[in-house]
Amino acid sequence: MNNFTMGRYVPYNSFLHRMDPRAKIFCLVALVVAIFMDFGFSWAMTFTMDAIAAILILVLLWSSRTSLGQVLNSLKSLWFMAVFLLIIYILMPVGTSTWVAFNIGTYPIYWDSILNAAKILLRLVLMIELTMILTSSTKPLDLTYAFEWYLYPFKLIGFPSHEVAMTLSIALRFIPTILEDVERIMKAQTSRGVDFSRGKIGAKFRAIVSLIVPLFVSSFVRSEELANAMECRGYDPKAKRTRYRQLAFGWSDVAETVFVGCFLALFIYVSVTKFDAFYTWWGLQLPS
Amino acid sequence: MKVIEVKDLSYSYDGKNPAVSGLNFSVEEGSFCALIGHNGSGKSTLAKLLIGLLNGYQGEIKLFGTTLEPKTLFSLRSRMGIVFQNPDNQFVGSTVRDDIAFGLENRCVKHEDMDSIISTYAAEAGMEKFLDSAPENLSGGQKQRVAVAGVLAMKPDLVIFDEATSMLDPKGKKEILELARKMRVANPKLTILSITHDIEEASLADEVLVLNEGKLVLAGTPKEVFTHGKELERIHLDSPFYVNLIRALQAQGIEVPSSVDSLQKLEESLCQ
Amino acid sequence: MPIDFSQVTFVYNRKSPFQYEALHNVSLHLDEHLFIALVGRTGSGKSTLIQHLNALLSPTEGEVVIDQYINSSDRKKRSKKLKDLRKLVGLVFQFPEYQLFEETVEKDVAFGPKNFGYGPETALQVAHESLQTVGLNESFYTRSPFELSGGEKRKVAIAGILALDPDYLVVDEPTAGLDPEAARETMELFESIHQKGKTIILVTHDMNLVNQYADKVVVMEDGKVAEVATPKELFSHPIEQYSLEMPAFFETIRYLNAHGYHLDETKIDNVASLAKAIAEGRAQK
Repeated sequence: MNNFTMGRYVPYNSFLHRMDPRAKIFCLVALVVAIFMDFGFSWAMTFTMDAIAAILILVLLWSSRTSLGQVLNSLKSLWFMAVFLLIIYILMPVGTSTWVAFNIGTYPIYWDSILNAAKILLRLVLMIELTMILTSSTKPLDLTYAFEWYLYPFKLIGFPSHEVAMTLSIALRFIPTILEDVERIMKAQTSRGVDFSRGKIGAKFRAIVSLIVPLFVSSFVRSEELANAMECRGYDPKAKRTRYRQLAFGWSDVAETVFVGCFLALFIYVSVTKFDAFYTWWGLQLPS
Repeated sequence: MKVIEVKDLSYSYDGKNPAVSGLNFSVEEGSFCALIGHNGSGKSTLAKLLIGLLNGYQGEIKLFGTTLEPKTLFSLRSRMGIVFQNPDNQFVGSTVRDDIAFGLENRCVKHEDMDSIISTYAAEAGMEKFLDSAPENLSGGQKQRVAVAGVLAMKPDLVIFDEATSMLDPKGKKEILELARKMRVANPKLTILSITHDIEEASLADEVLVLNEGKLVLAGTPKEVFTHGKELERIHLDSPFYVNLIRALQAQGIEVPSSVDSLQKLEESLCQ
Repeated sequence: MPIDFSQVTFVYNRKSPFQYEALHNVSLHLDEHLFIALVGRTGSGKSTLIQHLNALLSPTEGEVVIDQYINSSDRKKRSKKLKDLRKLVGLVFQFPEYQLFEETVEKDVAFGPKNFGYGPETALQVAHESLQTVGLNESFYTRSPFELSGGEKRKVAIAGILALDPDYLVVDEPTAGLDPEAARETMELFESIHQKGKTIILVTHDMNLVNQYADKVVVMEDGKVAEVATPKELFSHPIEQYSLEMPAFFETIRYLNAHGYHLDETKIDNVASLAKAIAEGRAQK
């Protein structure tokens, strides 16, 4: 009865869904680096570059069919962060700017404070949305394969990357099963008078114990039986094995990665050369 | 050829109380052998010993003529398939496809060959429409069928059902028993050992071994074993319904021909 | 204090893409002191139904009334202390041994009573009593539940519910995974509890048990009550449409009657009486 979508993966057939998970991870990292590049030489450039990144991310969000509900959900917890940042920057202004936005009584509120808070908030939002694009367009198991591929160099120096990947994929497979166990145990204990929602600390603690202990016990039994079954089916992590699921790069993956690479290169160029488009192209001298 | 040969087999978990002692039996190629006993009779221990999950036994276990020991374990296991009791705790893959593939990966089957093998054996087990289903969306019977598909894909010579139906509902039980029957028809040389406490299941076998308190107390065809009704009762095992009915009819003075070895034959003979 | 379901509908995951109606307009009256069997194929709504009996679930529509407790879809009509219903209706799930967690057997059995306000000594006392009832003697009291065999663990779990002395005992597939002897012992335990005046509701797939113990059978199909009958009434007509398997000897009676015999089902209760009826039938031929 419990239909559980892990990691909010939304099955669809967008180009993002079809993209190789390894390329997606690379692109995610590259885009996060891009959005956190520093354009402190000009506020206008800062927000222009951030806007460019935001447009790209909005396009990706739309393609991956991530629902608006999910997006808004992910931002719900940020409002507290927003207020917190604003207060910090107002109370402890960074930099030497004297550009004042308005005054509360005689206390000056600098544009710098507000813009700094806004910048960080915007970038956090973009990063969260990028991560969401990854999880909603990639099956958790595919992410595991991608991580295993990235960990391959470590395998050569003795890191048990295959075992780690196998552990992760078995864990993912058993999450729904263990959740069913949790539900079952909670129902059984509730039928014995346990109240999981109300009660004093002492009662709540005993309630949790009556859930955790049986869960651990049954999980250990599961893992022992599973290990026996795997052994009987010929599993030997140290021995050579072939692979059913194989990841393969396609031309679209190459094209997409190159595109993101260029995107990152642009951001790095603007940041390093302190390129101010407003000044260079239109002769505007905007405050910084 | 004797697929399983057991001589004077004894094993104890704690070094003092034997879980099984002095077992002597053999299973011929192509036969369907049922091993029955109540919970605690030693049949689970015997299953674990035959599968090679327990070390340090006394006596002899030979599979396919080779002694079972740590160094022969891997190669012997490649000729056996085991279906365990808990449908979830042997399902490794995240989908049906991946689970059947798991066995193939372990045996280094070539990647190009895997898809067709998976489709073939999933179809034999009746699960071809569920290849991309995840285990949480399958019933117990369906998961066990996937386990059987995975076993068959390795083309084993011996299949052991270790209480494979005891956690299933009647529908699931029927599915697995039907599958076992189909397996035998498809491959007459396949040897099946079924460990169970369900006497009706055991009555379908060619040979029945009865365990009690770690010892083999009865062995023979189902008919031979069921003539020992009192003995079975003493060790807390039922007789199948048709056997009980024959006994009750005999108590009423009705003769039943000795050729009757199933409920169907009994009903037919009563209508002649 | 009978149990009354009035037009109960239950929907899982309402307002989500995974919405599923498990019970549809169920109205049912269950008299007390009976041994009632609840049958139907997997997915027919049995486990959803029994969870309404101890208020683990509340109806989406309709209401369930047990004694003075009203488990209603309307929050305002719902009894305030619905939790106490769990003392009146004891629910033993399938494979209940998975709920054990305390350090000792007696502590685990006393857990339920303690949750309902029994003092520590009283809780232990009723724990000991119910352990005796399920056939576990003093030697088990201070042992860890995790070192017991499967069958013993199950007895401890059942004792844990019996310790609350519920008037209604609901058991879901209590014989699953047990060997025939242990299954028999468990069913005899429930029958003896029934003889003491309690109401037993048995959820099972085993029609032999239904035939042997039940006074009444409720057949579920597709979330609705398909039939309420005595076992004899139920087995007097085909039941395959419910995915149920007729107990072996009713099949035999049917076969023999189709081939010249005239066996009277209502007079046949077990193998011995069946053999007698066959013998008489043959003598008349």
